[in-house]
This record gives sequence, C-alpha cells and structure tokens, in this order.
Amino acid sequence: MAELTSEMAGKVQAVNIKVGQMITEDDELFIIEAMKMENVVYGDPGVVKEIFVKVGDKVEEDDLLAIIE
Amino acid sequence: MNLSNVFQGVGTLFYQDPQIAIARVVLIAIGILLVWLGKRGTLEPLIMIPMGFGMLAVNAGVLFFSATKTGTLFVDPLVSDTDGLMNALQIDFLQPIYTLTFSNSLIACIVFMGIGVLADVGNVLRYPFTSMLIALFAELGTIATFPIAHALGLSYGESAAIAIVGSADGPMVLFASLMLAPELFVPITVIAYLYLSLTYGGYPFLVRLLIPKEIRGTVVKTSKKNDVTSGEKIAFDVIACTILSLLFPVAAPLFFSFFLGNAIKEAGIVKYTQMIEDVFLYWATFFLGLMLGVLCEASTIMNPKVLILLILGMLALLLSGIGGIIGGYVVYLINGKKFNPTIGIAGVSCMPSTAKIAQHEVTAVNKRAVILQFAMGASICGVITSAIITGIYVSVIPQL
Repeated sequence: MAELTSEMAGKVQAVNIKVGQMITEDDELFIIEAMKMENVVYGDPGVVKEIFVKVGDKVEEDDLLAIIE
Repeated sequence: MNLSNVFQGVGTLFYQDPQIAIARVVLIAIGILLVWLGKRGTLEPLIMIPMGFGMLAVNAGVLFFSATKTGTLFVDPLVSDTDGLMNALQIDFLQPIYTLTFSNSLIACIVFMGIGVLADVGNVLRYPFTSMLIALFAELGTIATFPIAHALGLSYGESAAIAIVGSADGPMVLFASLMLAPELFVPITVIAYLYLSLTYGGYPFLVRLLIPKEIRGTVVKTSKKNDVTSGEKIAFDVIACTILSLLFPVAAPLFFSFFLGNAIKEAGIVKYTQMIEDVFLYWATFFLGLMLGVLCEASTIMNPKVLILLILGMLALLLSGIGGIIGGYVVYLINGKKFNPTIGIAGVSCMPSTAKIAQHEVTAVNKRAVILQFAMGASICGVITSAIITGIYVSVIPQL
C-alpha cells in the first residue's frame, strides 16, 4: 500500500482516477495547478484504494491525495 | 482648406524632423507587431497588448499645438514645473496616471506587493542556504554589466539602471531607472519588459545548452518536511523588512511592499489577498504596459544611447542566466551530485516565470521529478537579492 502525497501546494484541477481502478506508472492521476502552471501527478502501479481530494480543492505540500494498493 | 491641418496625424509627419517622422512610422509598426505577438502568445499578452496599442496610438495621434509645436493628448513625461504640470493634467488624459503613480514608483511598488502575495517564503526558510547561494550567483548580470556599460560610455547611473535589467524584474528596473537614470527610464524599462518576454523563449535554450540531459532529470530528494508555520513566515517578513529598510532606506518602499504583501497572505486576510492579487496587481500590470507604450513617443524616446541599451540589456539577462546555472552547479557539487542544477535558472528572479521554466525543462526529461519548491525558494531569494543590489546602487552611485 502506498500513500500518494502532493509534492507541491496548489489547487486540484483534475482527478483522472476512480476507486478500484487499476493504474500504471504512466497514468496521469491528478493535475495540480500551482503558480498558474499545471503539474501532473504520477503514482506507482496498483489499484486505487481511496481518493481524498476532489476538483477545486486546495492542497498543501505533503497532503494525502490517494492510497494506491 | 489645408488637408494637413485637417488630418494632423499625417500632416505632422511632413512637418517634423524626418528622423522623428521615420521613427514614428517605425514605432507604429512595432506597436502593431507587439499586439500581434502578444495575441499569438509569443510575448506576454498582459503587457504587450496594452503596450503595443499605446505605442501605435501615441505615434499616430500627433497633432499641432501651435504653428511650430507638435504634441499628443496622451501624456507629457518631460513636464517639470508646476504650471506646466497643471496644464498637462488638464490636457493629457493619461497624465494623472503618470504623475501620480509612475514618476514616484508607486506602480512598481503595487506590482511588488502583488508579487509578495504570490510568493511563499516557506521555501526560502526551508532551504535558506541553497536558495540564497543560487540567487547570489544569478545576480551575475546585475553586477558584471555595470562596469561593461560604464566602459561603453554610459554614466554610473545609466550603467547601474541597465545592469538591473539582469535582475529580470520589471518593477525593479522601473524603480531603479527612475532613481538613477530618469532621462533614460523609458527606453530602459521598455527594453526590460521586451526582453523579459523573450526570456521565456530564450532561457530554456540556455538551460539545454549548459546542462546535459542526464543531469537535467535529476530527482532532488528532501528529508525536510514542509513545516514552516505562517507565524514563522510573518516573523521572517517583519525581520527582513526592518533590517533591509534600515540598511537601504532608498529601496525601503520596495521591501515594504513585498514583505507587507507576503505578511497579508500569511496572516490569512483573504479579502486583502484577493484585492491585491486580483485588483491591484492586474490594475498595475495593465497601466504599466499601457504607459510604457504611450511613453514610446518618437520625439521622447529617440536617443543615440538606445542601441547600446538594447545590447547591454540582453547581455545582463544572458549573464544572469549563466550565473544562475553556475550557482546550480555549485550546489550540485556541494550536495554530491544529488541536486538538479536546472534549479539555478530560477535564481534569476522573474518570479514565478523562471521557476516555471526550470520545472518545465526538468519535466521534459523526467516527468516524475518535482523541483518547483526549490525553484520557488531560489526565485524569491532572487527578488530579495535584486532589491538589495538595487538598494546598493541607488545609495552608492550618487556618492560617486
């Protein structure tokens, strides 16, 4: 089980995964907008267990985004 | 009926000095070009569309004030006596903006307040040594251009003003050139903003040229948690503002604006934060672009020194970019190759653009590498070091 955290403070612009979805390491899981710049969040391959943020949420650095199993 | 008196914009072209008349036509063409490049996104549209429009309109709309005097209804930047100013305020529609916000640097300070609201000094406090070292290296252009400019025949004040272009900080250049080279502040500031737009296109090439691909993708591991509290950040703002203002009173308005903006954000005053970011900052950016365009009237901007300034401005930004990357390499070597030297470019303080360029170039090689927090730290430090150097120039040069 791996906790996926945000590497930067910003606003969640897109959530491209659903709970239960199988992901690979190349999937673009989240897009976080920081300083008017879109940053893609990638994760380790696995199954999405839980998602903690939704579009429009403000996140801080190290905030938990999702748990990947 | 004399047609050149009816259509005076054209009529004045034949009356004026041929040099000025040709410059007017060229500046109209440049204005149109800037609007087009702004629309295409090649240059920053927020500045370039108002600036291009101002430039073309002010050079087209020249009329006869009397049989021997031509002028415009936009602004008179050269007016110095009170009576003349009262006249200009009633005739020129942009004179109030110029007199009340430009000639006293208020507009530069408002932009600075906006930058303060956008900045997160937490990254500076987390990596103070790295950020400061990179920012100091990235001042290479602001320092090294000064003696070069002086050797080319510019006065001390003019040399310092054009060297500040290397800080890649528009409002700083405006502030410095108004204090140090008031007679050349229009061309210097216009050149600064033009080049700043071009650095978005140019710096990525500099990064790719100076940093091999395999190093550019380096992931920077950090053990430090993001645990700087807002109270600590405000304490930093207060202390830095007090000390820097004590040391460099001439640049105190800049320090005050930047740190106040930052403290307002960290104090969580949402209404003020929104007001400064959404209203003040955009208002100031709009009028900055517009005024710079309008000030590019042929008869005021024509100066033989403009050509030298064009070259020196470019040199200053190039040297700062190289300096920043050298700084990045220094940290890379100190940290046993576990640092990404691309972050160095962010030390050139065009906040947050250069930090974004750094992240963008790193992502292009390694999409999982996130270096934005280091880059922002270096960028904010760059703003502070640039303000310090401006403070030194403005205090020392009148003593020379």
